[in-house]
Amino acid sequence: MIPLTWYLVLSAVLFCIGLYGVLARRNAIAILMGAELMLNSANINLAAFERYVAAGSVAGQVFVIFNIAVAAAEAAVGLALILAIYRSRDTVSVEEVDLLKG
Amino acid sequence: MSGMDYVTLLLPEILLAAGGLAILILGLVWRGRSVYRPFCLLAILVSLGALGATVGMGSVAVALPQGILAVDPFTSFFRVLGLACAALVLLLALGHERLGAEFPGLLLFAVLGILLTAGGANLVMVYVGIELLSITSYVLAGLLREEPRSNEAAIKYFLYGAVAAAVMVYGFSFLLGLTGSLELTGIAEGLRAVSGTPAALRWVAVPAIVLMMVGFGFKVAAVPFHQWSPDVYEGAPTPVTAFLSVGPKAAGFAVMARVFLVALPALQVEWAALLAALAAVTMTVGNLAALWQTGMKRLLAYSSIAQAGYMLIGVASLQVGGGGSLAGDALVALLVYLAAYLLTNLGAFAVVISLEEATGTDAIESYTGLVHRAPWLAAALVFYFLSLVGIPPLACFLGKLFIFSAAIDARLYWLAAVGVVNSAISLAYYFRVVRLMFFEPEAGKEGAVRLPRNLSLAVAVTWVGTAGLVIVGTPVIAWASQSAVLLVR
Amino acid sequence: MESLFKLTWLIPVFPLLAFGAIVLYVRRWKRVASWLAVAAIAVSLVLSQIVFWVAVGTPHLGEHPFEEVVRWLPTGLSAFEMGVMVDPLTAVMLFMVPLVCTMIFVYALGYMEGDPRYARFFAYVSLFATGMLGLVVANNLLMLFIFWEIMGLCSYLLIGFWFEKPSAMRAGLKAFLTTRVGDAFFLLGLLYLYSQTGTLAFREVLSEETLHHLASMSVTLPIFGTVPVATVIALLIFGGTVGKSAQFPLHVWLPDAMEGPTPVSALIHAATMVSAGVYLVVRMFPLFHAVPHGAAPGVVATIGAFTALFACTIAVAQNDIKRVLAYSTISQLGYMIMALGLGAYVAGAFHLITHAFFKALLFLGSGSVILGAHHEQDMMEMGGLRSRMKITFWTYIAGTLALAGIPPLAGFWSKDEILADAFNHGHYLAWAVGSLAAFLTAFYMGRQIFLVFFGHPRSHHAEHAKESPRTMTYPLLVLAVFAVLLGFVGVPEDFPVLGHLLGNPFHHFVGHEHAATPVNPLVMGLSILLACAGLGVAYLIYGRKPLEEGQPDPLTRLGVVYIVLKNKYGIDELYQATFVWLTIRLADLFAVFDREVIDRVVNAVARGTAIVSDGLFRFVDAPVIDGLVNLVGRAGAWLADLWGRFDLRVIDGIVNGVGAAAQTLGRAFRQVQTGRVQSYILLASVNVVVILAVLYLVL
Repeated sequence: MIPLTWYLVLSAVLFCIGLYGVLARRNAIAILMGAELMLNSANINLAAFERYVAAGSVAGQVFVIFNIAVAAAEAAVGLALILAIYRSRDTVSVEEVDLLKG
Repeated sequence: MSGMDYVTLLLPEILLAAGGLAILILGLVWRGRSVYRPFCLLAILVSLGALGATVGMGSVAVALPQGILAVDPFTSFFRVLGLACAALVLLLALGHERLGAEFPGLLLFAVLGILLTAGGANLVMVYVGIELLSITSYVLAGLLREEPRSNEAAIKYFLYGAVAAAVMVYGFSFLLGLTGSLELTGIAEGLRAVSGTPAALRWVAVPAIVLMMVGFGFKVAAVPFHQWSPDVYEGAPTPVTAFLSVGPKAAGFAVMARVFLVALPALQVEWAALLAALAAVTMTVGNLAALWQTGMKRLLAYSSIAQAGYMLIGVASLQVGGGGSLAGDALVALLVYLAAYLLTNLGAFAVVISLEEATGTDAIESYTGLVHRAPWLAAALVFYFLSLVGIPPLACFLGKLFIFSAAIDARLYWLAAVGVVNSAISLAYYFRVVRLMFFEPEAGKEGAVRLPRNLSLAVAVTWVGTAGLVIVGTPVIAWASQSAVLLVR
Repeated sequence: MESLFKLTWLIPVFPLLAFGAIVLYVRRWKRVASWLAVAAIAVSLVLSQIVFWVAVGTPHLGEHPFEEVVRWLPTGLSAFEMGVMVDPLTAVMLFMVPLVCTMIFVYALGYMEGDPRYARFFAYVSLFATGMLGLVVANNLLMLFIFWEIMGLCSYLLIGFWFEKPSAMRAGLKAFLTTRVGDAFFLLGLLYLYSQTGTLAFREVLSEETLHHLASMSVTLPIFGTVPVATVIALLIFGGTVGKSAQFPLHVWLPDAMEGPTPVSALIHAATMVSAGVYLVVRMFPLFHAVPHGAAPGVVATIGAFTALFACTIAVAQNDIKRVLAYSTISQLGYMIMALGLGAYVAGAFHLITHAFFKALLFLGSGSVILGAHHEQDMMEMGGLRSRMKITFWTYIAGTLALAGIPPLAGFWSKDEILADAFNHGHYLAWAVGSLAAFLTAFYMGRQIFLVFFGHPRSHHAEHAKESPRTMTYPLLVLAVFAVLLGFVGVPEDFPVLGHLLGNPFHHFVGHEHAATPVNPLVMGLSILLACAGLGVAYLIYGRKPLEEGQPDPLTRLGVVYIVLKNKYGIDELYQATFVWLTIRLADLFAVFDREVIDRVVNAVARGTAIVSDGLFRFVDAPVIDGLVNLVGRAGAWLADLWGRFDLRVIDGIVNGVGAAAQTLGRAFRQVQTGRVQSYILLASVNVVVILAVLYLVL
């Protein structure tokens, strides 16, 4: 059986890749994808812990399902917002979205 | 427990969801500006109805299965706070037809998010509540679709919030791994079970707390997770800003108090230290950054960051030792402060909105000589500011008094000192505005500022609350004490 | 009879009603507004006189003060209560405060005539009187603090009343902010006291067992080591007094507060605000002396004595008629504080009362002079007003003799009691300082009298001076009567003839449990001698050969000493030099820091991030590290810039410096707010790592 650690390492790596994407990409959609990756790393954690630590309860799985649903809602709203900003500014690069500062 | 019981217990939430859904659907059918006001009034009715249902329920303490929701006096307190906030914000927004029918509908859902967050006794529910509040808030911030600034506020809020939420869930997942449970009471038991292995606590639980704090800190705009807030406050439509300055903070503090007290008493040394540090930094950064602002909404953004810092003192003082009474006092202090802050800050925003409607800007310069154009408005704003500074006998003075004495009780003397010094600093930027309003000769005579009826009602309500909270403090404090005691038990 | 004590509740209410009525309804009718204010304070005066005389007639009031309480805010275990208390101390304050306030209000009717904000003035002073009266009747520290803050707010409004003058605006803000520095300590003391005892009511806090409890506990502080809790609380509360009563080093606001209208100066400096600080110490007297051989009384006495001497030396060389009185006030307050620190409870309280009357008289007199001399405040431009302003002159003489301590006027008895007490208890240094200050006091008051009223007019304004209207002169006469006669209520009982005849009612009423200090002929004789000597020297210098127009002050012959005193010890120059030096060093330091540290940080971070990704690097470099470099590197330049531009004085300098540093930091925080959401997320991520590292290091 694959040890728990492997899952945790996988999720940590995924989390870091997601964070890297959030920080390094300019395209708002790519940043959103980074955030989704981070969310999914948490999902892997939850599922793995559920299987190895809290066997018998379904709490982890329920959380994962909710998480996926929330992530979908979040992505829908996020894409709508990105679309709106593309309409008004002709760009989806977050570098150029800095009217508000100080 | 029968199904009917659930309906009764969850009546406020059900009303909010039904009302919000109805408004959103009807908004699709009847379009146009003329329906905005009726929808807002309907939403006010819904929130007042839910408020009535909450009050009528009295003091109940029921935990729903799996810890999905705890309907206890603590939840009731935040139901009242959230619903009052909804009613007031809707009142403030009555003149903003541009927001469209989505505004009242989404606001009801956002408040539903506050209620679920405050009642959540299970991390899943906490997460769902927070996300419901967050996602609706993103949309609210971007409601003015054709305005670049509103768009920008929404996108920044959204990106920051999405990352913060992901980090928070990542933190939650480690608590599941450590304790095998997502229920708050289950987590507390699990932590007691593993208390024999300090390494587990040290290397898993501490990072988990820090990661969770990213999410909570984002909700209350605590430094260093605050940077979204000035930009969002400035860009969002002003009534939405008013809501954002109060609603998410209430939810954030509710969830912090419940999670830390119920689930993590075993780690109180760690989280208390973390929160004390965050409180000190938050107050200081908020107040210092406010000194340089030129826009009123940005100024209030930093001021509300600083206010969150004072409230964090209350959370940091929530230490369970000493038979629980200490934590009880600190929690009462936090609740009183939240109530006082809600009244005062919404009042300040009522003034800002009326000025914005009259002059079309929120620049602090436009407040010059306000006393000649709108003496009542100027006087009201001074009162809100004095309250925010904590000058007796106004509302926030009571909150500050309670918060600082809670800190002293918890032996956080230095933190109380930092708090007191900070409230002295905050005088400087509030009084800059006061000086402009009262003591500068008028820059340009624009004639009197007309105060619409809805805003004068809002100013009157919040003013009476701000001035009256201390005078008739007894019932408020008694109410807060009841709300606090049951949770800590 | 004692049911009349219930009237105490109403005493602060009437001025408050007047304030509300003026602000809400009669702002436009200035006559109505002013008479409303006067009527309200007069009603309060009548009520307080009733309470006072009932109190005098009540036996054993000291042991069993009248107290009445309503429940107000329940907080967990105990309750904050709202209540009034009348004990002998409250009673004598009730005798003094409304009486002096009424005189000042009546006087202001004439003095403020023609001011465009006439009604507003009376609204503010009414609120001010509410603050002081509420503070006096309060039965607990929380209420006292609330009224204390109301007064602070009014001081801001009143000192800055003529806000067209930028200096007045600044002075008002300075008074508010400086006293709030003291208030911050006061509030901390209050909270600490509450956390230790669970109560703030005077009767419970000052009860034997509470004091014993507080004195027996100790707390370990950094630097100070282990200190009794009572001492810590007492000194924190004393911080409030230092601010409100303008003791060194928070005295800086008081001379500037002269920018306010003269009735306000009289109100703030005689009857209300500054007495509030002394009153607080008198009220909390047992707490200060709770620890046997504790540090608190010593600190209090030292600050008081130093302030007494320090301020009156400055007063000697001032030319502005009101500034002389301002420094005189600081010095007299120092006297009282010193007395209280030395344990002379009755003497301190007695001097508080007598001083209020004759200092109010002097301030109002100076206002009359200023008005008569067409708003001239420089004494060098006056002279010869004796014949032109008769009533003002004679009343001013009465006030001067009282302040100088010439028998048998009021100031003589109270000041002498302080000196005798100090001497009899072996505090010879304090006695010497007090005596020296007494000499200087007599001298500067003599100087003032001769410069203002004698000789020939030295300016056009003085030549055409005329007596003020009756609303102004009558209050002067009333106050003069008290300045002359009030001292007789406190004549020591072993004083020949008089003592036996009068029986020292003040002592019996206020301080029966404190032993009366015996008359010391040596001290008394020397004190009279010094007072006469002070006036005599003043006569020799200014009276024998009056100054002519344009003639320099003979004191200038003192050379360096005069310049030093004139410039308030030249601390301005001295410390400006120090600060400039310090600033340059600091700037150097920052420059080095910039070169050595920041560069390396930049490089390190740059290299580190380059490994991660080129894109990440470019992103980090532009907004964040730039921000950091700007933040730290420029901080030095900003500091140098700001500090160089502001005129720095010693304590002013510290206040300003803190302000400047706060502004600089605030600006730095703005720089970090780049407007790019990714830099926010990056900063948050970095901070999470920092937080984790710190947590692991600390816990």
